[in-house]
Amino acid sequence: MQGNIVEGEKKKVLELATFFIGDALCGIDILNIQEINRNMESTWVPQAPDYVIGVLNLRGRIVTVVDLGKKLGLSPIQKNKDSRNIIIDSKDEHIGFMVDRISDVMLAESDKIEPAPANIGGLQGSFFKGVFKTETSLIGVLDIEEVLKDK
Amino acid sequence: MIDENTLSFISESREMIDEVEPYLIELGQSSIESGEVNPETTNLIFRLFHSVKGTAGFLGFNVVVKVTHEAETLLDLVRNDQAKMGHTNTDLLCRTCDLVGLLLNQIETTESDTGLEAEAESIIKELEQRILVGKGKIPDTSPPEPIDRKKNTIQTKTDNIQKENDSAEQGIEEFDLKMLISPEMLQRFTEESDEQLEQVESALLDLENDPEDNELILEAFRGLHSFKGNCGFTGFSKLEKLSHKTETILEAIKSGKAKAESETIQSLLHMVDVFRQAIAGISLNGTEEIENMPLLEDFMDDIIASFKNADPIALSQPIVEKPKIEQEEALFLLRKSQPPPRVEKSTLKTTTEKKIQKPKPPAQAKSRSIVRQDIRVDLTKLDSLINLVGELVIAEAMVTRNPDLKGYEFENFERSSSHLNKIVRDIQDMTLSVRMIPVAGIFRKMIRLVHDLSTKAGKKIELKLLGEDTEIDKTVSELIADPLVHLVRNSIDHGIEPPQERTAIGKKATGELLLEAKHEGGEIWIVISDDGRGLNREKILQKAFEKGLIQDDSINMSDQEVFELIFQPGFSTADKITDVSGRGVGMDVVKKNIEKIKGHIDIHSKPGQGLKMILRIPLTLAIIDGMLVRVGKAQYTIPLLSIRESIQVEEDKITTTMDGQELVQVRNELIPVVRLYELHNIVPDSKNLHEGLLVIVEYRDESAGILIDEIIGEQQAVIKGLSNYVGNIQGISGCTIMGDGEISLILDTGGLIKKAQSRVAA
Repeated sequence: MQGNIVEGEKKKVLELATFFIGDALCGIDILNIQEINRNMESTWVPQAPDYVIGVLNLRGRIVTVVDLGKKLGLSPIQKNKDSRNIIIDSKDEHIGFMVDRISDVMLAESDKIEPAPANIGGLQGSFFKGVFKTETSLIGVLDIEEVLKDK
Repeated sequence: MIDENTLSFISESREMIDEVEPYLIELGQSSIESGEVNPETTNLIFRLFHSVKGTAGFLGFNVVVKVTHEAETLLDLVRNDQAKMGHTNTDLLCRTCDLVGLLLNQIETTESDTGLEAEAESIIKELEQRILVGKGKIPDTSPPEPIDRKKNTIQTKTDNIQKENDSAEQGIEEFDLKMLISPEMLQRFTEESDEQLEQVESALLDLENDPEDNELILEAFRGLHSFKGNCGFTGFSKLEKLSHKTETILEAIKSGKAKAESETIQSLLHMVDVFRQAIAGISLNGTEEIENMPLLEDFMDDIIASFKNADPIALSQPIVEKPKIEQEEALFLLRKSQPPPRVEKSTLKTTTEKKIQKPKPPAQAKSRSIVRQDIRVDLTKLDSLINLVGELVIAEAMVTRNPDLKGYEFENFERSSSHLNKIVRDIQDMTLSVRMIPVAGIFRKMIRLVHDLSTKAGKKIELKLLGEDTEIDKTVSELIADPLVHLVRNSIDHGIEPPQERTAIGKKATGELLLEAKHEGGEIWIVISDDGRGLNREKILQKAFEKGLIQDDSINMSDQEVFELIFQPGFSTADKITDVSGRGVGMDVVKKNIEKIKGHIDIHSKPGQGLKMILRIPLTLAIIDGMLVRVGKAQYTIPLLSIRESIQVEEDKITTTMDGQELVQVRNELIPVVRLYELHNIVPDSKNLHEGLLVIVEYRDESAGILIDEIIGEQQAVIKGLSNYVGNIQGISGCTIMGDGEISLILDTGGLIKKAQSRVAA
């Protein structure tokens, strides 16, 4: 994956780290991502919302791990050899997004990102900043703030 | 970009304004009560205004200069007993302070003090009017023409400084500037002076190489000017006089009346050395000693005079006639050795002061005897240091309690690790203390607030401050400043009755408001109490019902519960909204801020006798001692401070209330049991009370027993907040990382006890 990252990012070109939630291919601006790791054992937190898997210790920082599938209203992420934990750098804290499978890093020119339709692969359109079409696929660019908003 | 000088002007002036306010109010009060004003206090205020004016003038903030100048004039009248420091004047001067504050904000954002002319104009008008009133009252003093003053204020900035310099000197001669200077002030003075002199010196040295650089002259001038201001403020008149003369020389260079010849610069450098020497003396024994004072003075005057001769446009300094020999001697002494300046600097001292005979080593740092007692540190650096210490505590636990060590006994390792543990603890204590500042800063701000509000509300209020030197964390101090304002406002607006009402019910006409800070157990208490009406239970219930905050006007609610209602957003019992309070926003803010720092608010109210609010804030926000316990697979940390004891329960000591709440008899007390596993859905080792352990925790005189399976051990816990996305979890106040890297949740004992107790009461 590292090899795909193009050095010297040009203006207006986003690098999207893409991943699957169920069948939907989603992307997050790579600058928001702290790291991606395999499932780490997290501590379950009683009474937390059901989409919170737990908290984990990432080198001394507390990371709240969120089941992105459940958060977006799909079926929960199945823990297996493909599932990954994407650690997001959000405002003051780190949030872990549990996803089904990660895919490539794609370059997207920001002016080619179109407004999101109402529904992307069964996901509500409002979770997305827009969509980016490649030759073979359609990537929904996640609006992290919107996803993390309390419902 | 705002340049550094402006920034430091802003922050210094803000400090000064903050400092002025309490004095103003004190002055106003003493004037009203006894008809007399304390000349020392007046002088102090005068000087503070004067310093602001001086720097503002130098930086070209003419509106600030105008305003402060008028305030100064008024104060001058007060000082000379020509005007009374009544309500009107106190109030007016306070508003002047506000205006200056606004102007400073303006400067900070726009780099200019324009934009508030209307406000400034109206304040200036009022001030002028008061000045005229003051002068009109006593006709036999020769009043300077008001037009004259007006003209003065709109002169160019150089003139302002010049004028300011003159009046500063006048001030020194006319008034005995003995005031109480605390050792801390003195220390700060010496440290600041040291910095300023260094600034002057380096500017002068650079100037020697580049005599045309105007910026360097300005730099030296600024440093010297601040130094002079500080000397005047601290009351070292000799230093002030000398630095004033030095400044005059620089002034001449600045305005192009004189050249920055290397000779002149040498003389100036000598003066810097003299100042430094004097400051060193002050820092050693607190007294101002300058050897050869007359000689130096003459020397300076001589240089000034030489400029004057060169340029007919006169500077204000008179030519001082003096014996030729002496003058030559001085010049000889100064010229005796030539650059390099570093070595040469000491000549004046070595030749004119017999005390110091040894030649100075070239290494300058050693020759200065000012020992700095503090350094300024960027707050972010400090924060990351504290974070690192937190990590260190965790790392230490990770090493000394490493799971790999389980089952082994290493005598040497144990010894070293307990040594390490001790050091880590010391580091931690020390680091946390670095952030502590006294509450005096926020308490003193209340003086002004109380004065303003009580005047506005037509109430008489005496404010008492206790425990001002109690230290609290800087973050805490920032967060409680606002709540304090709201609580004080409420006390004045709603609590304390108007004088007539008070006398009618047999109270003193003057209401009392007490602010107190103290340590209490593991907490810091900020107490705000008044002797006013107290909270009206009925009224609160009625309003809460009207606003739909409670279902019916439930009689069953405890006083504490009823009083907590006032913290609900939108709650207010005030019948009408004033500009002070009544919108029901304040108390909500109070609660939010206090909760942010994990504090609690206690309310004690006696109808008709007063209200007492206690803000209880935990001492440290970051690290606590905790006991690690296990329930099933989950590990919890219980704050050690709240644990009273741990017991094993005998079956016959357990009773169950009608609705299923279990109570355990411990000695003569019945304590409710909290079954954590029920609350948090865990499968415990055992559900039987007598098979587990009961940790008795206490909070605010109430207690509860928490059922656990096992005590794992004691550990320092670095408190980490849970993410907002997790939401508020009942019974959990945060989490911490344990020695093995696992996360343990910290129990919110207060919340658990409250819950258990309410079930008993129900």
